[in-house]
Amino acid sequence: MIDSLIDGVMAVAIYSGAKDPFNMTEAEVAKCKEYMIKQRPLLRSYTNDNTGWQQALASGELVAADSWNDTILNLQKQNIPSMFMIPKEGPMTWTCGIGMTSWVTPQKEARVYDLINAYLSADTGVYWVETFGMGHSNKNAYSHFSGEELTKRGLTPGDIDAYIAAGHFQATIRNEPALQAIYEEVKAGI
Amino acid sequence: MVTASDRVGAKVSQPASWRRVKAWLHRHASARGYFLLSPTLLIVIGLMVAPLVTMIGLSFATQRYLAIDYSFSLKNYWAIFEPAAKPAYYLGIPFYLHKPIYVILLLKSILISLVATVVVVLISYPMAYFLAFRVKKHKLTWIILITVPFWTSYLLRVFAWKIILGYNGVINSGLLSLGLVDQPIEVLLYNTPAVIITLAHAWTAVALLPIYVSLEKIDRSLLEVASDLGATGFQRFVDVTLPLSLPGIIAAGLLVFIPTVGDYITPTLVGGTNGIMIGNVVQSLFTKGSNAPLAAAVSIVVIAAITILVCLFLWGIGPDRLRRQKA
Repeated sequence: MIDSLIDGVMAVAIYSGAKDPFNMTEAEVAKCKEYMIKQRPLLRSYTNDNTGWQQALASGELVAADSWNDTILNLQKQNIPSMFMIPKEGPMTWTCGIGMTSWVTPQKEARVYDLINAYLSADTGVYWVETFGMGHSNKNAYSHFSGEELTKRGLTPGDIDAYIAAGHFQATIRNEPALQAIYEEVKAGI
Repeated sequence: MVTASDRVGAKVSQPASWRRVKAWLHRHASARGYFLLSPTLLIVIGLMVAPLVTMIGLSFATQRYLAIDYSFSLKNYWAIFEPAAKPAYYLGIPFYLHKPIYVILLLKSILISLVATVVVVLISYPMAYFLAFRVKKHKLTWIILITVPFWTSYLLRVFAWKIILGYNGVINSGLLSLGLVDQPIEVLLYNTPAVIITLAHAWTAVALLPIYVSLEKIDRSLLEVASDLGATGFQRFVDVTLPLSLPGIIAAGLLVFIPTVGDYITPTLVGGTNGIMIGNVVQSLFTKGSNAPLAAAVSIVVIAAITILVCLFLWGIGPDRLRRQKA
């Protein structure tokens, strides 16, 4: 299990049936904690070691892992039979943002836009989907891949908006420090 | 034009303030001592005292989401020791605390470190004994050869144990190829024993040297006397060698026990879901938990607990050792 709130707690929150996993009531948090305690014996470790869980999946030590899309690509490159599981509750989706700080001078602003444009270009998108297997904000990038190639990466071909709407789009987690404290208790077995 | 006598005069004459400083230093012997120590003293103050004082100060502050409120508060210490009516159990011991995680993990870390320290001393002692009593030539070469594996990074040594104890690691591969097991043993890694094994190996070199020094210092004529008086090899070891090497054992024990209580790299890499220690919680509070003041308070409690334990230990063995020396 990835050692982070979004993976360790929010995924369990979705499974436990919280109405809004990112803004849970006290009762929902308590129920989520119960499920996390039940989940703990099924896990080998709480970790951020990407290579570690990829090796564990390759050796057979792990049968399933919470991971990013590149894991599947790396395993398939090694001819290790593996596939992306999309839970019945729907996939968890997110977008990464780029922020511009208030102290960027007007002269440097153009460079920031250059960077953002580079990030959003279809070329970057193709490289991104090809190499890391994760989705890209530029829809045109997907036309370079067959449906099979996208499915292999856990990306459903077709209507991207419908794909995102069918899952859980990540939002800012309410009361993050309190949830982190609960997560630490669960990890410590208390 | 500058004459030769002017130049001599310039060398001799010193600013009045410097003369006063010199005179003051001449009068105060302790100030002279501190002045001579000043480079080391400044490093100790800057790198040890100042961070500790800062951490103590931070432990009385309060985290308000992203900002830290520096007004004095005991809230963090209250969070660690706040009593509760319903107990949480660890090793059958009830902890009547609202947030028992800190005290339970502190106890767990102390127990893990104690076991690791005992294992380290048991491994190091025979090695040091061999070096001190059996090796006659090229002792330095032997010491270097024994400590060579410990010159590698601590992180790499911990990681090596992951490869040794892992699912398809050295031990499991060996057992499988010998046909002793049908499938890899999973209990070798990701638990408390794995943490203890890794800590014991990682700290062996640290314990080896003080034990070796104390054994090396033993007057060999005492051992000869014991033999002359009819003591067997075992009696000689128990009654002469072991008591005289106790200072080295104690030093080694403290050198290993004190830093391992707060270790977080080892439990992170080989501890899995069962090997978590107090260091992991402190690290998590400082980073993901975004609560540096509470992390500082937990750290201070850990330091205080270790200090009390070490003082009790030294107090416990102190009088006994004195009595032995008098006898």
